[in-house]
Amino acid sequence: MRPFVKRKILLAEDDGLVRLVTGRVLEEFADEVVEVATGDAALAALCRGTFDLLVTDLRMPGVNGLDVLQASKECNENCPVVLISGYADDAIARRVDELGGTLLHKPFGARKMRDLIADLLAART
Amino acid sequence: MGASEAFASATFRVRNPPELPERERRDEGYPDLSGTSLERITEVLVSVARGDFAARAPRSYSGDPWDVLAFLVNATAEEVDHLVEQREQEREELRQARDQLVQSEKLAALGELAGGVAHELNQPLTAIAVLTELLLANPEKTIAEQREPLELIAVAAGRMGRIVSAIRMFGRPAPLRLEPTDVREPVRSSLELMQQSLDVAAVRIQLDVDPALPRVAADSECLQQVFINLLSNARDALEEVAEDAPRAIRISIRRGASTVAVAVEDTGPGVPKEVENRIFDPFFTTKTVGRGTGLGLSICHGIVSEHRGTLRYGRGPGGGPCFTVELPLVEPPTSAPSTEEEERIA
Repeated sequence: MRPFVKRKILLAEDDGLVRLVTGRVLEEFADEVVEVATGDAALAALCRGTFDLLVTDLRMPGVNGLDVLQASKECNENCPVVLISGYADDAIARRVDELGGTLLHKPFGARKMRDLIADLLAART
Repeated sequence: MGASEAFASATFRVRNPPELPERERRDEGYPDLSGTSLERITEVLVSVARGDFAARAPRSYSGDPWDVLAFLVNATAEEVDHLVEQREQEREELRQARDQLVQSEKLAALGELAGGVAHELNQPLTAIAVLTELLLANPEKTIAEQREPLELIAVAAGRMGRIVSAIRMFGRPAPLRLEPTDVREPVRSSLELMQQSLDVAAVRIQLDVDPALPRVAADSECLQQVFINLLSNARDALEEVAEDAPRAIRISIRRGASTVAVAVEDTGPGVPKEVENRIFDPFFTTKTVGRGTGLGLSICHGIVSEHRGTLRYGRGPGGGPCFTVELPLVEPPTSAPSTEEEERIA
């Protein structure tokens, strides 16, 4: 599925290996995947450009995934946000839901991630 | 014991009554109470004073002053008996509560450990899960064409392996084999093993060792692991400093009164003040993700404690961040002076 317009995805993940691998899957959906390793860098990237999708790790040093989710929704409500997490408890899950994000539990496989992202992008366009 | 003797001992020193000779006692003018009601009551009081709270004075139930006194003494003994029983019960409850607390702390530590393990393993596991599906989606490609994802899977598996072996060390049940050890030996072997990587990181090593070092009770292999850990932490910290800043690790080995202390000091920035009290916690790390498991110092702390030694973090003699391992000396032999002593005498 090739997009008509140029699609841009922001990926924030502090674990280099997970970032590399999830970035590989996201490349299938976008013309450009901007990869950052911290929440701060994600906020900076959000300020600079508009994204069609944001994928962020929940637990990162400094600014965490919830902060990034909130900031993203404030500047672009239509951009779907996926939070990757290995240990989201009920309170975090509720918070993600309130802020309009979608949780993706680790460990996940490529298919699960692809299906989720395809759904989110389809719902958007 | 007669009542007067009992009376005297109760009056003067309850816990350890002096054994006065008969004549001396009479000379000091103690009244002879043999056979009186006062004797029986005094005997009960002495018993109570000695910790036998079950003693009771016989009652005549005549209502005369002696009977009233006997009643009051008995009532007092009964109350004391009750209070003592109550105190023992409270003590038992306290002991149980303390045991429970220890148990729940252990469980909390276990829970924290499990949570940390889950998180650490989840990362490479996710990478493997995604990569294998990507590989399976392209069955027509050759292994050579799929080289990169395959290598990444190997990297992820390696990371999981390191986490598992770190946990194994953490829960290591095998007891230490403590032997009289020259602490320079594990320091030297750890430096040898680290030489290559210290060279690569352009880290200079300074050694400052007391000439006459007594031996410590230690498991050399385990100590080597401790020093490797401290050295690699120092190296990691020094790799972060500016290119032109000094990169040195200074190891000083000093003899104390009953210990030998090995200090590993570096010229790096040290641990941030706000996390200093957490550095020995399992899974706590300041390193970038994937670099450290956060178990190293925790394991080191465990190993040194098992040696009945201490592992502390603070400032070293050069003012830099410094980890100090202090180990107790081998018990000095009862006969024949040690070689060090002989050397000093000579």
